[in-house]
Amino acid sequence: MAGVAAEGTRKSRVAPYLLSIPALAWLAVFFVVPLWSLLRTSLSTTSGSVYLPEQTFSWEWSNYATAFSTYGTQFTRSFVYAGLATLAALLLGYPLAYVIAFKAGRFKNVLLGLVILPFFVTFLVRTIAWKTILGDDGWVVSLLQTVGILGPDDHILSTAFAVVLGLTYNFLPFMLLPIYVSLEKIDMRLVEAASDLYSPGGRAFRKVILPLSLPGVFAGTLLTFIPAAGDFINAQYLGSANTTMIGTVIQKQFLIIKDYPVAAALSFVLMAIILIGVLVYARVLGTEEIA
Amino acid sequence: MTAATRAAVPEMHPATAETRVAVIEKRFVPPRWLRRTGSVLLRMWAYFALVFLFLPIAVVVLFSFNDPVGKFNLVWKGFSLEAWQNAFAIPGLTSAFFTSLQVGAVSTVFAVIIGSLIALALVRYRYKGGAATNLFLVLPLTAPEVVLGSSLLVLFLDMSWPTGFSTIVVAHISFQISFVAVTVKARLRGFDWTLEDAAMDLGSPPLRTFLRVTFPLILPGIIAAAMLAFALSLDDFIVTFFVSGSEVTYPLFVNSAVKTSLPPQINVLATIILLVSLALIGLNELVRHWRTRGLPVG
Amino acid sequence: MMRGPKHRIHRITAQDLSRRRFLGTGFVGGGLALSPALLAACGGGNEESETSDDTSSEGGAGILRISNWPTYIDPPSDEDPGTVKEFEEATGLDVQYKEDVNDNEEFFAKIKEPLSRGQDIGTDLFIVTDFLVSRLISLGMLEKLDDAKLPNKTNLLPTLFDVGYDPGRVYSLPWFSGFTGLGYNIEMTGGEITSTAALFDPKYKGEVTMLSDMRDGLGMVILLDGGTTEEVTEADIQKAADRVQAAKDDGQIRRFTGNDYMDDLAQGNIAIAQAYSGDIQQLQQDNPNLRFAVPQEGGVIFSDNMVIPTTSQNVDGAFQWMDYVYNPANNAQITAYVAYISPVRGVADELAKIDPELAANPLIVPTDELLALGHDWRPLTEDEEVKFSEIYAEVTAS
Repeated sequence: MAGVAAEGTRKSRVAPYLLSIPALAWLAVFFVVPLWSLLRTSLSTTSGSVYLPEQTFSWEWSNYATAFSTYGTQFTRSFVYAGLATLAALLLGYPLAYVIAFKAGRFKNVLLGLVILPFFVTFLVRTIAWKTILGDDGWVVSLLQTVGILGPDDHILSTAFAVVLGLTYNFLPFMLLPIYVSLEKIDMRLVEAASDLYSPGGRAFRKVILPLSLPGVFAGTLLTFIPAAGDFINAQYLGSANTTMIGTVIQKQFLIIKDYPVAAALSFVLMAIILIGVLVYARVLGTEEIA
Repeated sequence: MTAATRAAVPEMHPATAETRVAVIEKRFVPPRWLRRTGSVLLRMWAYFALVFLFLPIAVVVLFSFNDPVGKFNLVWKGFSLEAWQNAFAIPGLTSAFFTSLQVGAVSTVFAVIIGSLIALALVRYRYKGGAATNLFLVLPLTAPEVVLGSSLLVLFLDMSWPTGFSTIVVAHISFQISFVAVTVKARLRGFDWTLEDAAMDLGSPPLRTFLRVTFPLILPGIIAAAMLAFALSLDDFIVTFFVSGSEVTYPLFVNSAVKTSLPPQINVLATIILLVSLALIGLNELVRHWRTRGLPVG
Repeated sequence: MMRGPKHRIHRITAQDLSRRRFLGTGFVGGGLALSPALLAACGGGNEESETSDDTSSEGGAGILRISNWPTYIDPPSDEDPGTVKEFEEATGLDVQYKEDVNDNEEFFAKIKEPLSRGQDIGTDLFIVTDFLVSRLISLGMLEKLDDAKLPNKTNLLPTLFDVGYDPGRVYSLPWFSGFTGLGYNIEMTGGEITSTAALFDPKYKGEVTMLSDMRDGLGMVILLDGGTTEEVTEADIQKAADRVQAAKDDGQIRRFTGNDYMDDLAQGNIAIAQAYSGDIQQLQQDNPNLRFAVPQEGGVIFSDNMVIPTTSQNVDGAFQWMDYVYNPANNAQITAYVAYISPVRGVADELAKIDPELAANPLIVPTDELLALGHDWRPLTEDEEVKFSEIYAEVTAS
């Protein structure tokens, strides 16, 4: 359909390529080249000084075997946490985006602005704020203990729950914004027509709004899930010794253990799993375009 | 309706088809009170989400007025304006803060230009390699930050490019581009491009068409992308860490501060960014208002 | 980096590009993208950034760039300009003091590639922990000290002169030393803690943190198990790591931390932390219930050291700094703030003049009994270093 519209444009042959060149050139130099050397590293053996190793490319697939066998748990854990966080973000984000798009009236833009605000408080500062809120002596824990949801010795900080909560929180705007954008584009006349003809309750939503907002849900899910799966800040600040995610492992491999080939292999496995996930998800949802 | 206009609003077709079906089938209509309750519940849930979003922010702002006794601004001790009066009393923090703002501004300008161009290409034209480009653009989003950071560091070293301000900017642009492209694309999709064609048909030169028609159309999307890109830059810790040389950004400072002391000035500066952002959002609203009114063709 | 006249580069700002090039040809990438000078120039939008940009990448005569850990020197206050300022006045040097060292391994990861290629790392003198000093020496990344320019080097405590990581102090001078021991919240423990065994006491389940650094984390456990860090073997490491692993699996250990156990202690989230002595001294302000103990089985003594990278742009300035802080009176001023053990002879007397209470604190001016509880790690070979770190990292990162 875009093609139909494009026919009206005169320079459609050259223009898209010219427009694409800057981004592609930039990413080629500052993304593909480093990634390529990383790929080679992941298939290399090292020799010489541990600290400044010489790498020999040797199709060393065992690096991948090591990465998988040693850190399978962390991979699973990362994807479970990221999945839960994405789901939670969707459950919180969609209704809010919906209300802002359709029910906020003249407060729409104000609300939208407010939703983006947390973005501007640095990630680390936001996460530290959660530490204050969820502290063992804080009011949240005290309240839950009084109500009886938490036992007297229970705590929230340093649990898997806190990590998932942190992930949900930190990436919620990534979920909300694309959904909002896709909802906002829906022609209001359509919604009204559907509400008149269908019952105004669930069916208009299910038949009209939901399908039209799916691209937003798709983009939001990806933008939430991907960084959540690779994150390590939340696990570090809000988690415990038993909630380590794969991001931490990669970090430690690079910085402390200094096994660069395995670290590189871990990174590639993470990227590959995410990428496969993206493709499968795109197929399932039937979205023509990626993100 | 011309062929081009119909193509620009393809969403009409499935819905109208569905509508016809719906008229034929008579379905159960829930009573008014049930609908009302549903609507109220929906709103309450949305408010809950808003509270969730704002709770930590409120804490950050509140604790900028704290009067901590020791080194860690984590437990409420009492109200004080001292940190605000001495907002810039910590030289390391202040310079890190301004470094971050500069990095954010410069990288955002570059990333928004580069990213919007490719988004425009992808939405506006169907061309060979377009789908592959789409996929390629998502790749950087899948790369863990530690991977980006460490591999970029080696690249800069190979290029004998001393790490510091410029390398941070380059690294930030590298991850911002994809986000900008995705955001702008989302905004542009389903736009009514006939305006542009119409302007061209009427003999407007491409440059003028772009300035007076296309640009105002895509501006809100670009502004949204710019805010996102700026926020991402301001937020980034891991990639920055690797390529920063001896430059210290705000997140780098916070990360080290966490280990030894958390002065309330951190919260004060965070609150200042928050207020400035609020002002910018307001400004954006004004611009949008002005744009819609002043749009020559609309 | 190429540094053209700023005003000239400024004319091609991003703003211009967004219009001219963008519209003309749609070509922004290519050569432009690869020009660091342009990016740097764009960053120089105002006075301040130009100075900070210039200074961060270029040193030279008259300028001394120092990288240290955060809050590891006395800051300027109303009564006192602080050591950095006083040094500047005494020497006429312009000091750029940065607190950008947070973690030895992270810092090393950042500097090793440029250093190995002889590229400036943006600092003329930095402060890192003993084991990293020995690694940097073996990699040939450090400048030798010129004793002729360091008359105050004779003030170094004799016990710190012949250390395993730098015998005879050819490359390094200690900044401060401290103990790795037990920091605890006496309100939560209900009494004094004296033994490392408390870390594994089920009474404190989920309220214990351990250090993620291999030496700091395992050293005390090895001593508890009857081994020694002076003659540590792989079996000692494995045994200690297994013990920690078991405790972790039981949920005994809440987190593995760097310095970031401090906020948890201050907030009252944990009862006992493996901790550094000076930290707890400083933290008592936040939470008066905090105590520090060197365990009866022994704790690990660490030293942070000043070293000069081979890429230093101002080696003489670095010597001037070292000599200045090795003057007992100057050093006492820093000691009074950081509350760690000073390596400089005569500081105790100077400290007594500032604050007798500090001079009487055994964790700042240690007694012989306390020093007897302190243990060093023997220098590890490269392979051991990697092997041992890996054993412990598999515990902490899984």
